[in-house]
Amino acid sequence: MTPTPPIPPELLLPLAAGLPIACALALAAPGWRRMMSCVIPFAALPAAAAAALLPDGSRVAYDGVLLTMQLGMDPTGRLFLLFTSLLWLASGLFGVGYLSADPRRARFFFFFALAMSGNLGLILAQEMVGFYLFFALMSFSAYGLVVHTGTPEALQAGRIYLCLVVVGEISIFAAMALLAAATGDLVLIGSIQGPHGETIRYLFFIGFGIKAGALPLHVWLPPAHSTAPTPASAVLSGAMIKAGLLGWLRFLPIAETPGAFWGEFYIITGLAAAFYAVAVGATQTHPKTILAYSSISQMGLITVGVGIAGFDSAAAAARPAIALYAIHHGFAKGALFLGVAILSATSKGSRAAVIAWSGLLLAALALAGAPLTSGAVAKAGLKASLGLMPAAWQSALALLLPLAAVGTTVLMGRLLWVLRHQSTAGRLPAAIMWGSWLTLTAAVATVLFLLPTAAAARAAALAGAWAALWPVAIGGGVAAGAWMAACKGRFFNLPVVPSGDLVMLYVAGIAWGGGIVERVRAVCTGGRLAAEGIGRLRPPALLRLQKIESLLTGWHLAGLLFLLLIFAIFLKSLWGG
Amino acid sequence: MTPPLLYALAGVALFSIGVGGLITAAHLLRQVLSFNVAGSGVFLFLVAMAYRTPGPFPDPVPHAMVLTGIVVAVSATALALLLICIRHESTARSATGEDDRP
Amino acid sequence: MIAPDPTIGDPWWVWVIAGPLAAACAMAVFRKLSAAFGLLAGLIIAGLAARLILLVAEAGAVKTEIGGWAAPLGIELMADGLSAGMLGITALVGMIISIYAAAYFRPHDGADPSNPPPTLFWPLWMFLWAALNALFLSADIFNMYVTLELMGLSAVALTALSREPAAVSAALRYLLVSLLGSLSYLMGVALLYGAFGTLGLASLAAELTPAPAALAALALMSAGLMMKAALFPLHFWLPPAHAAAPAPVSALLSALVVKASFYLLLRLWFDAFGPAATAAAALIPGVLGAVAVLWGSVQALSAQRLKMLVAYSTVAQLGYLFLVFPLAAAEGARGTAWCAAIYFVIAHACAKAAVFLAAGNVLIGFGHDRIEELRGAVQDLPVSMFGFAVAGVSLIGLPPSGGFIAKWLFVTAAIDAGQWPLAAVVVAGGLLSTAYIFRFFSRAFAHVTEKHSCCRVHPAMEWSALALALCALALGLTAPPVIGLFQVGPPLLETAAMGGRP
Repeated sequence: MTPTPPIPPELLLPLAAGLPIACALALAAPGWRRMMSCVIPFAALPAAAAAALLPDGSRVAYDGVLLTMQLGMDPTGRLFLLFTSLLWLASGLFGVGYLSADPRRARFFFFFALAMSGNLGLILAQEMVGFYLFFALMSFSAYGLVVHTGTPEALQAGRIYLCLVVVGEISIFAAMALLAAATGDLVLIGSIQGPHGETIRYLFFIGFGIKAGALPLHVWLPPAHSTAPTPASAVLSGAMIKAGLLGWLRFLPIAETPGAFWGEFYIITGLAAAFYAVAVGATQTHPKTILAYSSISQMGLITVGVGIAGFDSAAAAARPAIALYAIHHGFAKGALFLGVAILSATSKGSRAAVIAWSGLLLAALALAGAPLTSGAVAKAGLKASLGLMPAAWQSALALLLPLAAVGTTVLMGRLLWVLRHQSTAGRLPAAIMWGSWLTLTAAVATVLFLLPTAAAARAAALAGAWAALWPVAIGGGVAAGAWMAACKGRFFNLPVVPSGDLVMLYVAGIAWGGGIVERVRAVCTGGRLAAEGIGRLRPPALLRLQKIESLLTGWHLAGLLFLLLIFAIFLKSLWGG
Repeated sequence: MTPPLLYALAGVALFSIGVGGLITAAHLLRQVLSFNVAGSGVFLFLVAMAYRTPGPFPDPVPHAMVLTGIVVAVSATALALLLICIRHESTARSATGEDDRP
Repeated sequence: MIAPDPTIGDPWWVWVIAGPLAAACAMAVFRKLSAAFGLLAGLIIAGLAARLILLVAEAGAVKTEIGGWAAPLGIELMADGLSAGMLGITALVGMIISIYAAAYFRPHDGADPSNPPPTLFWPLWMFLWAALNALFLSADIFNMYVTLELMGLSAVALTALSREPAAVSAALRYLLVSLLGSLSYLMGVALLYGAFGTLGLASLAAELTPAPAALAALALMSAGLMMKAALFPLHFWLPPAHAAAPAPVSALLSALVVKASFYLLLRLWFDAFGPAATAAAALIPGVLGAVAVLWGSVQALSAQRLKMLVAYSTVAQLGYLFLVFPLAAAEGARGTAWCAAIYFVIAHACAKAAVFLAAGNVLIGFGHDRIEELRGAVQDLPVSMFGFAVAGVSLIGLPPSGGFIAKWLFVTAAIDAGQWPLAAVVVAGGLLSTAYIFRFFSRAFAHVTEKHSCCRVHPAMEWSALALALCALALGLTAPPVIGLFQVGPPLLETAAMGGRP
């Protein structure tokens, strides 16, 4: 339908994935650092252009690079590429202003560019190894963003993040190897077959679930998002978190499984995350932590969508709905993160503060799914795919999804409450920060109303505007009630769940496994984030191994082992064959 | 038992003694000597192998191998002795005992 | 496939052996110009190796008889894809390490009197290089013995270069191990000659029967080479020797010298001993290799010094190589496993050399390599630490590095062969290597406010570490041609094509 694109894909595709890396390398030249820091955000532009201009099915293959790397464009990839590139652009520009006084700005933008390249590249990758390459590049570079501030909290958050990233990478690697061995092929969307189909599915759930913040694997998210610099939090929560989702969409033809076990598995995990994260998030006091929990909750809803796509009948309708929801959440969460930083830089009661408040309110309402916002469109899209599911699930989800919206609204209320004293004067944010934030907010307001793909969902949202109102109204009511009660001082003190909730349990488990009782006690008393235990663990077992090693270095024993080896090989080849 | 077989068995015996000494000896000089004994064992075995084919002349290939092997063994011994000397100068020890672990 | 070289007299590629020997002789006369001669010889070897690779890739395997003397008494040289490739990776790594060494052993202004004089390093390194090249080109098992000994002796002498007590002790231990290993190998050679009356690899492969003498020779030669290749539990000599040697020597030892022993094992098991090396016997190196992966990684995890960490990482990474024996014994996985092992050899050669050079820079910069005290090292040695990080990517096996390709091939080979425990070991080894690499990263890249006292490190030394690391990374991007080269006329490949499968 589209005539030949104005820029050939042979040029645009590698540029979209590779330009950020080139910019990151240019940072190495001291003379260029200052300029490159400002240029790096624009490295996302080729990707945006590719999303806008390239027709579906355009593809480039590089024989000999890796295992024949392929980049290309497809409908799902286009939607992801669109919001991902814009989010990186906006957050990067915001970062130019946000970090203008930071002496280690170049270092930040180095990791920022690498992670950007990974995130954009994995969307374009059309075979496993390329996907894995960019996924790993993104995950490991993001570590540099998480620990950028260098505070003890950031380092702890980084350590938790790294542990989970490594587990995730290993899971994905193992799953891909199994899949490649079973199919003899490296294509992305094939079918999962062979005797190890179930293992592959579990491994992909773990590997991508860690990135997407699926329930028991979400523990890295809150500490990492709250300690990273704001522009990094925005892309972590808005864009990179969606890489896990895209992984699921790319690799899991869930519908193949007889008995719809995997569909139900994803729906239940998603619902659990949606509610659990609201409950824990409502106890938080740090605005960025609340936003992180809101991300877990929203990703839970998207995970429900992945589950819906697991039912044969609903798959075709659910996949675009998931992508739309991802776009909506990406922009809204990005706008909220940047908005929080804008708000804290304004002085109370000033006109700037009013603008900041209204922008935040808009994004919060959109996230809650108030009528006539992008949230309503996204949710309507998700609900529309429900109609094709078995009746039992249909009625259950028709009740539970609005309840989740109530939860989201309450969480947003909690956010605004925590933010009420956030404006603490200081100098006004730079124009570039205003600009990028306002652009994102405008995108939140308009993007789902402009996208042609979202037409059906839009119609459904307009038709069901009243149905979308009541969850927001109830949630708003609850939040307002709590607000007033708190203003009158009659509010009970919520116990604060430590950021990263379950991580305490995990560390306690590891410590227990290593036999360190003191560690457990330190964890139970709970004061400090116990993650530092992970790095410092040196269980007695390790010391015992070192003793054995020093035994092995003895010359006589080694000589004996050498003779044994000779006899072992001789006898084994004499009788073993 | 033919003479070549006797020589071959003696060579294997010497090799075994040498390797045993190399592994069990505690003194570095003894280890170097054990290496030489084991090497001689291999050379003896090779020399015996030169007679494995019937005929008036022995096979020259094992001889060439033994000559080359002797050159290698001498160089190795020289290097070992040099290292022992350096070590003796700097630490006044020459045994590979338990205290020797780096 | 093997065609006699058309030229009369010795062909030009014999100079990859004669060149460094000539340079070593020249160094004895013009001591002051040692480094210049070394670099010149390196350039010549690199050029010849590149030309030989092109020749082999185009025309298949080549062979020659030195001086026109025919095989049993004369020396026969043979270059197939594997030999040419090993020659090439040795030339690449050796050339970059030579550049590093030229800066490392430069005539210093009395800053560090413990630095050994350069006049000793260069001739020894030239002998080592000649020995390595000759070893890769050897076509008979006795010539392999001679080159193995020449390599071992020069490596030992290089280890003891600093004359510090720890280095001399480690070198002595290394020498004894080396002698024991090669004696055992020589006894195997004698047995084989006694039983079959031939020494050539090709004729052995044709005539060998699984007689007891052949099996005894297999056991003696393999065990000796496994000890020289530091296979668990015979790795005890490696960490002290590699950690005590000067940085360029550590890099040479870890990157090239241990690989040469492994190369011989590959040649013997898949070539000469084809009929005798059964699947049952192949299980022994496989299991020991798997244990080595886990054991070396755990020891690296608890190492206190950086060079020890890197040395134990070598023990672990060498373990992967030995997985090739049981994997290649399974019919379906032969070609993949063979490619995996060789790719691992070359990727690890680049990455480990880079890491050892970077560790050497740390040692020079800060005067120590205690990991706990290296917080914020990146601020003083940014290029070296970046090189370390890039090489770490390959050691862990993340894309786009040569290490990733190798591990990917290993895992798919293990799955194809149905050897699940081995696949699990490869994956677990990746996990553990991430742990020990990041254990150092988290210190080196930490943000610290106080300034270290750091001596200046010559830029050539920093950049050569990075260059090697980038080579390891680039190997991930050039897999098919390299794998293609290694498949030119190698022994076992009835399954040369790997199908659609990578």
